[in-house]
Amino acid sequence: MPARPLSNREKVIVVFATVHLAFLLFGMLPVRWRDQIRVASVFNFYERISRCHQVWNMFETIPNMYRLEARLVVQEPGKKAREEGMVLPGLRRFTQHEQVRLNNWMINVVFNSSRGVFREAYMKAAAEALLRSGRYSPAAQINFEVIPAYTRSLLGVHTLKEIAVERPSVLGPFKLGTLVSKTTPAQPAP
Amino acid sequence: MTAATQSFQSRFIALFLGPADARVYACVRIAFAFVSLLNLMHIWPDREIFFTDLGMIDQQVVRTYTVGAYVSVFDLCRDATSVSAYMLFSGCAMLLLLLGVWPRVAAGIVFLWYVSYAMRAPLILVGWDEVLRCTSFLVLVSPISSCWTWQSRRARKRSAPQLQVPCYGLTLMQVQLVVIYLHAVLARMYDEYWLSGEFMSFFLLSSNSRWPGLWVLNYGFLLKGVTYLVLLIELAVPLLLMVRRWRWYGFLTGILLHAGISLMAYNLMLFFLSMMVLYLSFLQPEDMDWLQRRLPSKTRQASN
Repeated sequence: MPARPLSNREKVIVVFATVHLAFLLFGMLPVRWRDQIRVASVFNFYERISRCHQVWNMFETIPNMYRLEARLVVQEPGKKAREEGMVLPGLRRFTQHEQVRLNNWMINVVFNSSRGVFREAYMKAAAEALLRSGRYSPAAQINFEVIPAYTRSLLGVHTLKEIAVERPSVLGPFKLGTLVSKTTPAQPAP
Repeated sequence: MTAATQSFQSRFIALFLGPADARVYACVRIAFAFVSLLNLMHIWPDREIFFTDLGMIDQQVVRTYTVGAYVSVFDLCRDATSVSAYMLFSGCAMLLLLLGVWPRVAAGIVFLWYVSYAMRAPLILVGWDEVLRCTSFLVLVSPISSCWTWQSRRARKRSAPQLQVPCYGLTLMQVQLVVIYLHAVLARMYDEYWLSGEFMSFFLLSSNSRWPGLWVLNYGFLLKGVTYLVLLIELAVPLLLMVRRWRWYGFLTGILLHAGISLMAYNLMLFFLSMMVLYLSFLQPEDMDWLQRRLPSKTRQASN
């Protein structure tokens, strides 16, 4: 580098690059470490404005889901229950392997207890889609069935010669009319 | 100021303002634009599911729960037609970036695309979305020369491409890659499955695996070794890439790691390609000379 005074443009570059470098080096720390450091708030602010989130927990947690199925089950009063796809719009079927992003939505919304408001918004949208299809009345009841199969322990797989065990769960039943008439569930977290 | 301080200062400044080969930036720009196009095509079939008002994610709820300002073009594009139009517009920007036509504007539009969809549908993001968004920020702020761009013959004659530019963009991309690997390794230090070496067996039994089955149990010991090997490789790759004469070992090790993951797991090819964009920032001028010597003569003349 020539030993000459830096131009204004070069000074801006050096300042910006230094800030971003410091941000990246701090981002190298796992979230639980950096949250305990005093400058974490400055880091978080810069992260928000640059939109360069530094959370690289690639398979940090164990991938213990073997299979995931999900569907809507709708029942008109006095009639047999019918299965519908849970993907909106169009009530299409969910296929775990072909829809990796939708699989993430399932993990983030259905299996995360703090995301109830997103589940509620989804159920409302699903009820609207079912009513729009013209196949159901507002009196029909809807269940959102999720059937995950979790991998057993390695010892369990070895002993039972079976990889996973199903743990189905159901969200519902709700009346379609009641879901649709609900106002938007978005309320700020306390 | 002492000589030591002056030396440190000039070394530090050289980290950002030292000369870099504009062809390396061009290589990163072209690769980034190409992978961005692939990613856009990956999202395209599901655009109505993720981005429209009739889809799976309520924009009002997302807005309410966004930390900080909610900035997304999808605030204006809410139905299938406008969402498709915006995605096509972003795709055109990626194409322009690839060709080097109005590259700074194109890079800005591409960065806005990454921010917009991450804001609109944060619950669907996958690992490579984050890698590409961070890379798009760095491409946006990096020097962009007219090297390896689509230009008319007259424009090319009028101004020869600038071959040396400041290296700060490449430095930051290199550090970004190192951060990704080291953060991943450090975060796993709390995970008992990684520490006990059982991770790879569980991974191959999970829905992420291409061939899950009881066969995994026959290779428990081997897979324990592979689990530790992955951690070792993620620690070694940054070091190998940083040392100039070892960089090709770094490239080879990294490519083998990601190719192996892509082979054994579903849907991780885009992650592989996104990471490779950052790897390109470690290329050196002699690599570009080597590459240029192997280009067909017509292309070589154009790029010169």
